Amino acid sequence: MTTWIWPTDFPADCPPEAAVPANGTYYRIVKTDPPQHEDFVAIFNLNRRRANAIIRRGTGTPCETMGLSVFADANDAVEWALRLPQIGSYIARLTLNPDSGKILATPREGNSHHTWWYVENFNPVTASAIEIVI
Amino acid sequence: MLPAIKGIRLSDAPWHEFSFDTVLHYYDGPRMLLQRGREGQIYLAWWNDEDDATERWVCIPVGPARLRGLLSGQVRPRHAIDYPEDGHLLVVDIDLDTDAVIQLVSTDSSALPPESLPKPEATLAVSESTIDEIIGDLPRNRGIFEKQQAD
Repeated sequence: MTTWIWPTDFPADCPPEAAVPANGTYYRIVKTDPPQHEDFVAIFNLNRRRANAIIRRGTGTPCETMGLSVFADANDAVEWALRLPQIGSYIARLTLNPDSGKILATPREGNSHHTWWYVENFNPVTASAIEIVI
Repeated sequence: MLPAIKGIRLSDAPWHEFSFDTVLHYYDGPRMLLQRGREGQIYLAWWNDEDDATERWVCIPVGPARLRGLLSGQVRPRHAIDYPEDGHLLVVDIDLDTDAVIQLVSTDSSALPPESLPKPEATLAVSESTIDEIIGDLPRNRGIFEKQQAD
C-alpha cells in the first residue's frame, strides 16, 4: 500500500478524499524543452498573492492552488496552449504512477482537465517528456 | 512590473466591480471570465499577464450573437480581439490583494505583445447547454439582449 508524504504546507484535507492514486498518461503545458522544475510549480508556490486572491474570490480552494492542471487528452492541452501562448508552447507527456501522488478529474466545460498533487520528494521532471511543440 | 500598454487611460470602469463570479475556463487558476458592465455590456475577460502583485485581463466587448459564436467555436477569439465589436478592447490591471482596478486602458490588439494573444487558430468549445446556461444566467443583461436581438 502506498503511503504518500505531502508537502508540509498542504492542508489536512488535501488532496481531497475523492482524489485517486495517479496512474497513467497526462499532459501539461510547459515553457521549456526539456521541461524544468519551474514548469511544475503550483500557484500556491509560484505567486502566493494570486493563490490568496483565488481563494478570497471563491474561484478555487487552498488545496486547488497547491495542485497542477493537467489533461488526460493531449488535444485539450493543445487547445489551451493555442488560447494562452504565454503559459507555454510545449506539451509535456507525464507518465504517472501511484508513487507520484494523487489526481482528481476536475473537468471544465466537459474537457479532460485534472488536478494533480505530487508528493514531497517526487521530481516531476523525471516523469515528463515533450510530446508536442505548438 | 507589467509592460505599459498604449491607449487611452480611463478613470471610470464600465462595471461596478471586476467580478470573478463567472469563470469560463480554468488552467492553474481562472483564465477566462465574463464581466457584466453597468449598462448591460458583456465582456469576455481573457487572462493576459501577471506579476507578483497584479493580474492583467483583456476585456473584449461582446454582444449576445458574438458571445454565442465565441463560445460555440464559430468565432475565433483572435478575431474577436483583433476586431472588437465597438472598436476597442479594455485592458485592466487588478490588484491581487484588493481586486481594485489599478489601471484601465482602452486600446486595441496592436498595443498588446503578440505572444500574449491567442493564436489565430485557437477556438473555444463550450457545449450548447452550457452556452444556454451562461447566456440565461445573465439576468441583468437580458433586457439588453432582447433589445439587441430585436434591433
